[in-house]
Amino acid sequence: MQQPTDEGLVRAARGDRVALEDIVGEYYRPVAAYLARLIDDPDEAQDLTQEVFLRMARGLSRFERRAAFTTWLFQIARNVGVDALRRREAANAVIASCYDNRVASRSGLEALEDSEILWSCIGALNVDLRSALLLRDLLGFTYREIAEILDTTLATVKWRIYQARARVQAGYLEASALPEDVRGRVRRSRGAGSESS
Amino acid sequence: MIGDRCCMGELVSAVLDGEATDLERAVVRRHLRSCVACREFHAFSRGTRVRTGEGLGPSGGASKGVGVPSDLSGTRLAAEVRRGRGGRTVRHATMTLMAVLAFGLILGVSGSHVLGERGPPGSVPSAHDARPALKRPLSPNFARLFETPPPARVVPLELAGAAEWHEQFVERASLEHYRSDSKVVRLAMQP
Repeated sequence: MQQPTDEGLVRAARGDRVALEDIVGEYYRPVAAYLARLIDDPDEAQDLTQEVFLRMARGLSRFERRAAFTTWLFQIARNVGVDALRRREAANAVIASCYDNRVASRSGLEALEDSEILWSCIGALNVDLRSALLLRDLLGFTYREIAEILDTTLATVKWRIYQARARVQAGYLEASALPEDVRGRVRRSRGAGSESS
Repeated sequence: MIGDRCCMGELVSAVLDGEATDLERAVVRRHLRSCVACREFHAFSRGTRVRTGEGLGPSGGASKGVGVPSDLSGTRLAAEVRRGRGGRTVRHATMTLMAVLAFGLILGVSGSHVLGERGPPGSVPSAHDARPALKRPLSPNFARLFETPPPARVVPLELAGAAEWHEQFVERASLEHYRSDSKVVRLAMQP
């Protein structure tokens, strides 16, 4: 991911409005997409993304550039996302494991498109695996950068990404084993609905 | 194979991400020729990666309709930057002040104890010693620094009763007190 220029960062840290807006314009979308997939709620993700950039602005003067700017920014995003998940968990919305969720939402999978099944399986991963997979596949960070963002080792990142992929594959294959005519009917009815509307 | 997964899966995943060495890549390439599970995993993960990456594309689900909200204006962000800087200055000032106060307190208290109340042993009394004694006594550990150690008692073995004393000591020590060298020495010092 592209880094902001040193000059831009210095200006932003001094409170230059244009430099700050440039940073937000550049990174708003990746952060929003990451949070939307991490917490599986696009609406809440919008609020959290704002929170991320406000925290970034507050912490810019303390940013010492020991890590890349994007690494630091996504550390903030990850913390904000995990805090939101904890709050949700505290409100009795259990973050289920991949397998639990698959069982719970199996009937719901019938109505899903292929890519939706895929995202549903990713969403069903626990937060550590999901976070690592999203940072790699959605945002294209290297393993080393992911290790810095998640504050863990390279070996753990490697293992988490593998586990995440293996679990998504297992979940996807199980969901895809639903009768094709059921899924086809759903697809056709959706297509007809969208054409008529 | 471990269960329905191959033990090479982690390496296959790393190769897919370009995070493996040349040697590992060669090993995985050779392995993929013979392992169906890994071939399927490789193909599936590659497809997933592409489809997941599309999430940031123009028609990506996660970023659909995502635009920078007006709430995040440069003015508001600049205010947050100032707030962050202000908070930092206040924090630094508070911490420095507290450190100075704590240091002064430690110096003041220890100085009063050492010089004001007793003075080091053998020192010449001065006008400074005429100050009223502090209400708070010296702590036992601190006071011990200025105490002259008592002379060690030496009990010659040839003295009458030494053998009996030794017997008693061993008996007591074996009962409950023989726990550490220091304990034994302490007992030995007792008359």
